[in-house]
Amino acid sequence: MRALVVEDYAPVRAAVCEGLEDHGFAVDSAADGEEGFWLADANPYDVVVLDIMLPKLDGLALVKRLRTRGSNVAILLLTAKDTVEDRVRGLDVGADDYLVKPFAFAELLARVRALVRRRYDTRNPTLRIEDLVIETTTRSVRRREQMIALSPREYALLEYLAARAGELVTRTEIWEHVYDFNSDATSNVVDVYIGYLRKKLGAPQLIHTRRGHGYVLGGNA
Amino acid sequence: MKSLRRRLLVGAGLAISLAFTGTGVLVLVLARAALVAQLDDNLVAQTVAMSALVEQEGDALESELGPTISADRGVYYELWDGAGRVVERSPNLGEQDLVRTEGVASVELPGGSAGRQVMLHFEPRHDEPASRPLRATLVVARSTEGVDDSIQRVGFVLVGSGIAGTIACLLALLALVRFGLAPVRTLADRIAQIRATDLSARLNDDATPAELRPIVERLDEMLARVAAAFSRERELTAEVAHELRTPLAGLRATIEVTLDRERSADRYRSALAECLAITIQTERMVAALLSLARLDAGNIHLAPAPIAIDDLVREVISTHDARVTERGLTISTRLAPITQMIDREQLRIVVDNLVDNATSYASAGSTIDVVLTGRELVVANDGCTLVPADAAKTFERFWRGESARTSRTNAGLGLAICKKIVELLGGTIDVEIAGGRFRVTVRFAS
Repeated sequence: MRALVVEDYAPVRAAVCEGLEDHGFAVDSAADGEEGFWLADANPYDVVVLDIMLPKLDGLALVKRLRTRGSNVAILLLTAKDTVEDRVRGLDVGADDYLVKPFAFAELLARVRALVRRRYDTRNPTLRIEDLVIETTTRSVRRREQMIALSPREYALLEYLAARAGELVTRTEIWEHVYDFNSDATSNVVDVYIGYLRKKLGAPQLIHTRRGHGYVLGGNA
Repeated sequence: MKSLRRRLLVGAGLAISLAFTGTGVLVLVLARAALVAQLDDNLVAQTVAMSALVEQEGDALESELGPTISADRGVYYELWDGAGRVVERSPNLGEQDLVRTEGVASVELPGGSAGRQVMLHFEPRHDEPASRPLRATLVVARSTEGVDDSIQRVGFVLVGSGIAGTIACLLALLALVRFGLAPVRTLADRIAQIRATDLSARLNDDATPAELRPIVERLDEMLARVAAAFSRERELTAEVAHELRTPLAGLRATIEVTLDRERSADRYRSALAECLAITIQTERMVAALLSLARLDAGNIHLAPAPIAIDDLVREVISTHDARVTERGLTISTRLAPITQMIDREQLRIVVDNLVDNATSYASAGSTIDVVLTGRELVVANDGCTLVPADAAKTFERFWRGESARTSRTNAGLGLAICKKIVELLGGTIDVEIAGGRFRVTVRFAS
């Protein structure tokens, strides 16, 4: 899943980015509102973690602008203000959730994951595709009660495919949701990782190729 | 405790009893005078009547006073002939004489009691024509004891009614004072109902008596001032909480994420360095807040002494050498030798803040101007991203320009502190922003 962190205070921005990356997210960051808006508008993020007090364009205005542009991205607001009015205003302009600074990183992560689930219309943190079980909270994968060890990138790819199980997922979509700007990825990297995943998941094949279009996880070939 | 009621009652009580006493004494004096005048009239009439009892028989005076008057023990008389020889005196005089004083007069009677007397010179009656009519002098006196007794009785009545009247007046006054001071009690009750959490109540209304209005209005003004101060305090506390939350969030997120899994020693080291930097920043902010709080409370002891300001400025600039070098800045100084009576430590804080701001915000490689002329110190730097309208805001607490906010090396309190100190030192401080140039001018008190 791909996240955008917009926060002007460098220590918070760096820590949140690192923490999300550690938990399998592809993360981009911005230090001001305008850059944040530009990134959020141009890329299909699954979730945006957004500070309210930002230089150039504040968080609330950013949310309003994104929503006006028709974006449905899940937005988690971060702020040092915690009056009821602040929270109400934040949610009313179109944010999905709200977290007051200072926050526990575990809570931020849980909220981000919940937002991601909602975005893909699932509520259950455990995803099942045929005999494959993915625990999204612990990022563990089992097939027929057999634990499968995946690299962070492989897990991110599998989680994205699983969130959209049964649907056709294009290479571009995979590219956009699993890789951030820092990934030194070449054009065929998606195919390479699909190959790794197929090998680790074993037979029978769960990832089906739609030639010229993309991939489908689960369902009939 | 000083009681208005007691003061009113004691004052009024004294005035009332004084009035009663004065009236009583006047009544007594007038009454006695009237009674004495009446006594005198009677005495004169009696004396004339008595003189008719003295006759001339040949060449001697014949008196029938004795048999007629001696029964009345209250009357004293003495009769002299024309040659001044005592012809007769009332038996109650014994061997004593009455005093021969013309007309009506007060006299001391035998036995020491006070009395009034009348002296009459007359020609006694004679049946046959006398060749040589005789002259006689009669003095009649009477004790005034009866008058004094009457006056004493009247006096007793007056004193009694005076005391009763005073007490009645005081009781009435007590009730009146209680009634009159009722608004004060009501006011006290209303003041007691004002809570520190809600200072919106005001005391003045249509029911306030005109005499209490000045006090009540002052109280209302004070309430308004206290309420304003409280709300400023609350705002500041909220702001401080907000400002502290940001570095705390940085610390917590950094620590939690770092602890989330095993990391290399280098990564731990860099995380600790980051935490240290945040802590130092926070510490600086807390120190700045504390000095602002002290300045607000006026809790600063000023020790003015003759200070060579140019030397002080040079000294402060030298403490910023490291950053000046690091950022490739040049500080151009034009410092006139000026000595001024001023508190050195406070002035040092101001200059340090100004130079610190300039070296932080000047664009890398630019030149900072520090000019001291007359009573003015100017610090100016380029690279300012603020607009001219921001100039006044730079003195607000926690206000930062956007670029400054992002770096957060500065708590946004420096110029607020400078303004407070400069005002405390009796000077003025101004900020001008024009074309990317940020210029602070401090004018010292003359």
